[in-house]
Amino acid sequence: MNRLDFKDGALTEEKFIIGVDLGNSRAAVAYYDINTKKPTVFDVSGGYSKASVPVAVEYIPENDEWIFGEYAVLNRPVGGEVIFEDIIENMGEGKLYQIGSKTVSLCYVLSLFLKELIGSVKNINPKAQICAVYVSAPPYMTQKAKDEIKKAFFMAGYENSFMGFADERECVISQYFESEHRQNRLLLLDYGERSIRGNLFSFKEENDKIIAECDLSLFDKKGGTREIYAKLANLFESYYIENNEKSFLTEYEKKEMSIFAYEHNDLFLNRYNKSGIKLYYNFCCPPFKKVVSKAEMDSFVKPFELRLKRFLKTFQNEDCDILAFGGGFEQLWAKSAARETLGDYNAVGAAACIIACGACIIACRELGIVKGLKIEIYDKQQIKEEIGIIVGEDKFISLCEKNTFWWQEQKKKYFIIDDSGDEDYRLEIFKNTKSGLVRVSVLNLDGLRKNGKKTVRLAMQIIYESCEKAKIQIKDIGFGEIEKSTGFDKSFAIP
Amino acid sequence: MGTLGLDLERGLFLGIDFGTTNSVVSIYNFKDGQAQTIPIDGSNIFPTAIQFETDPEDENKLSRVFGIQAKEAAVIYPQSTILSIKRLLGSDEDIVVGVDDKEYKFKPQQVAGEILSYLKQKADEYAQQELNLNGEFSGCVITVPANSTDKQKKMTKEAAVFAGFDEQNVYLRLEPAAAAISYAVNERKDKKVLVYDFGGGTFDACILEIKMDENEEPNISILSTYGDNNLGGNDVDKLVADMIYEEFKNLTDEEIDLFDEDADDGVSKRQKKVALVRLNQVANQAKERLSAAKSTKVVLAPFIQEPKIVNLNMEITREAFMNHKRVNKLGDSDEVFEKFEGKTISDMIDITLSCIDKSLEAAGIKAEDIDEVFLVGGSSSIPIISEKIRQKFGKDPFKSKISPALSISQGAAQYCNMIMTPTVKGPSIQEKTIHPLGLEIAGRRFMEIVSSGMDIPKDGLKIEAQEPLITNFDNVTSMAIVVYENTAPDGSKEVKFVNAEGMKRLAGTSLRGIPQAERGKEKVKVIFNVGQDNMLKVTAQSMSTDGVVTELSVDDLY
Repeated sequence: MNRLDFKDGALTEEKFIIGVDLGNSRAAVAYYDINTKKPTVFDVSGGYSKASVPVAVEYIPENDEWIFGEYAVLNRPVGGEVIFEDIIENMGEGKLYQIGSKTVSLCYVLSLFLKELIGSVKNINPKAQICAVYVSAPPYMTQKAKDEIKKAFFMAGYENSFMGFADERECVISQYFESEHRQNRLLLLDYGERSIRGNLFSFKEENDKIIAECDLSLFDKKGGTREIYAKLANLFESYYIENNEKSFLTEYEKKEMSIFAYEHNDLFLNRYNKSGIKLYYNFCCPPFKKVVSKAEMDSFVKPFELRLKRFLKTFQNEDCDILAFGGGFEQLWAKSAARETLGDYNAVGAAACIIACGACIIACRELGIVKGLKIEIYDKQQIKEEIGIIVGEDKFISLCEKNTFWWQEQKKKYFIIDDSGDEDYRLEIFKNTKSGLVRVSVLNLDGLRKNGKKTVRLAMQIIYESCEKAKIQIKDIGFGEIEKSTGFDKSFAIP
Repeated sequence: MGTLGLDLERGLFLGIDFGTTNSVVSIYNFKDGQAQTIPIDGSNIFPTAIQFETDPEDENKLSRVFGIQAKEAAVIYPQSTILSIKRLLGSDEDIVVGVDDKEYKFKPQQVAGEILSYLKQKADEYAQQELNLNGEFSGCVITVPANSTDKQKKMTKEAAVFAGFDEQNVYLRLEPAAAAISYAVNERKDKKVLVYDFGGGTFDACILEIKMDENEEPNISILSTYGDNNLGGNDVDKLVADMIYEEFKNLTDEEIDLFDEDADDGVSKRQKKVALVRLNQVANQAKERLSAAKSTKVVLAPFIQEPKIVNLNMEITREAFMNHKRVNKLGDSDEVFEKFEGKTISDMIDITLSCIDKSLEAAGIKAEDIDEVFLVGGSSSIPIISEKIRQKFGKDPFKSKISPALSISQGAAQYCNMIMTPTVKGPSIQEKTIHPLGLEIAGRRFMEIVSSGMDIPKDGLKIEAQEPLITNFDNVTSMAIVVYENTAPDGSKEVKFVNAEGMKRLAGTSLRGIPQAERGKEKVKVIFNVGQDNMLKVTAQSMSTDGVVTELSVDDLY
């Protein structure tokens, strides 16, 4: 069964078109419901009644067994098993792990997770055949990461149904265009695990497609939910330590505390009443209760609230619809902060679901199951032309990742000078444009030592100050104990 | 002068799956025509638990803690926490709660009402703040197990009224039927569906028929239901608890009896209560993990601290769990323990399969007539259930599109919309009588008055017995009116007896004040009135001019 089966437009109850929101921390799946003619999210949590599931995989060596999702997280405190988390973030690195006597790739681990995740469609219809899969990806995901995820889909048995990746903003906008009431301007607020992002789009129809132009883009790199959860885990731990007068935690206690934090995050962040909350540390003996007052909870949330409000203030006077998504906006304090700053915003769909639904709609549109124009995102904040150097005869090495945002940190790359050093060093910088490589600058590396061939190592990194302004930093990092760094460290503006 | 733009104010419709272990609340969102589950305290699944404590501002008052906080508090404060209140609905006994050395007594419906009140309040806040749906809750469907007695239903309704719902607008509907609706509202094909509803405390099988009407909207009819009110996921938890307790007995050479508070074993009552709550919670976690993993570890270290430290640290494999036969009573009543003693999980699921057989028989269809089997209820994720269904029906079961745990509540919200707006185009449900109802007459014969599968109009189904009852002896002044339900009808016309298998005595009373006369001269007219919630009222009237009338609800036991 593959997506070509839809050429005749015959969709049945057994043929499934799905959209997958494959986030770093959680994943959700939506399918196209042939009866309601809408993308529908379904419970993939295996009984925990959540629309999304943690992207976590556990390996239990004793039974040679793999466990997924919520069970993997909750099983953590009871054994010395191997747990894989942050899987998506680590894609594209070709990572390998030694577990017991075997070596497995992270790509393989992801493929097992995908098999389980998508296999849960059988819960809806035991005869389900997965015919088409569209996967959302953050706009800055590298091509290498995409390649590895695609490989994981293939390994999971979806080589014929995998259709491709869609920018998660395209997914949200596609879902937004399914609603009858829409404006020409839309603000997307994404309160994710790593950052808070805001993108203000305006739309225009052009040649059978909708151009979604990002007029304003803001981000807060350190404002993601991961920081909140980490601080909350520390708070929970401090209560435990205080009650038990401990100076350190045993391994067992650490594991129990991590599960305790996982299970109580929502309670703390989503429950506000006059009397605060009570935390019951039932895993220890004797079990104990810690009362956390409303004031204490407010004081914990306050810095995050201020930070969010500061971020949102920029968009305060925009006349547009607003879609807030991402795990952060599921928390009550964040919703209140958004309302206080932006008024009643149009929160469409649950956080984890709108992306999966949008991915499903994109798949259906491409297969001709639903009508609608293709959304094409144009974002000035994204890097469209690679900057790099030429090594060897004529090999172009890019120093920045295409389609990443200027505010993202570009990876450093390392080079060895393959030159005898008789003359002053010059370095040519190129841009990889649509019409080919264009030399944009020649850098004079005066001051760099000349020690002979293959004895000088340089670290190079492109640093963007805005989407139009970038510089390259070049640093002599020495050659181990033999040739120490001279301290050469210069930045050069790139026109 | 312009015309004033007016629109009809719509109320809000709620569906509550008031479960033994967990409850779920959904609202019918009339903006998009969908039912939506309301997260209570950040979670879709709300533990049906309440804890009482002294009000910090007034020591003569009690304050209440609900849901997950109460469930967790049960470990430290078992005497002031009530779990599984649903199992007590139907009982007249007061619940005694101990708070700071004081004792308080509550009626079961009062405690259930407190919990429903909290759910109502949270739902109200969510509807207004998160969904921008303003208005009062003008309708609410609360689901009850298919096999619940009228007394249980009555107490559930009292609890709802206590919670602040308007009595006229609270509707009790069957759990499996609500689950079926969540599934059926989007169906577009004629089908016969079996709903397998395995909850925390009860099991129900329900067969329904979906037929498309002329507008291509699904019309849903319930053909039959059969269940077991004392079989649920909690009983499966007890198998794991039993395994852990066996280990505990080995470690302590059976010197400590956690279930006998007065046993002279050096362990305080409080320690025993705390240990038992921890035992149950750990058993539940282990069961859930065994649904996904081949083995799990149970660590309770220490489990008991005094007079000696007892640490439990054991591994339970799925295989051992599957083969374990219940050994210990674990605080169950004699009747319940007798049912489960020596039984494995497979035996328990077999009980559910026999309920299915009875349900199929009552509907007059065979297993092969069922198009789809649909699993609902928080405990239906146990893998052996799917396996057994596959074996029996030769097909894999479906699970809810939303979640097996949420479907009853979402279906209830949809149900509420169907009840409150019957004229609006959309899916509809025809309420039908579930089982034949009748009276015991001479010779222990069963006189059927209401047949199964009869349509119940909105104002109830009123049927008078075709023949009046007559006096059997001279000069009698009273007559026994005993009502029976035939839970296992076979469809034959043969004479049935009330002591046959499947006959359930619902209620009985005496019609007193019949004028004295010769045998057979005095006649009594009997009328059965079945409400849409399948609650029965029976009216018996002496047909003499000066005759008396008596009316009984079937919970007024004789």
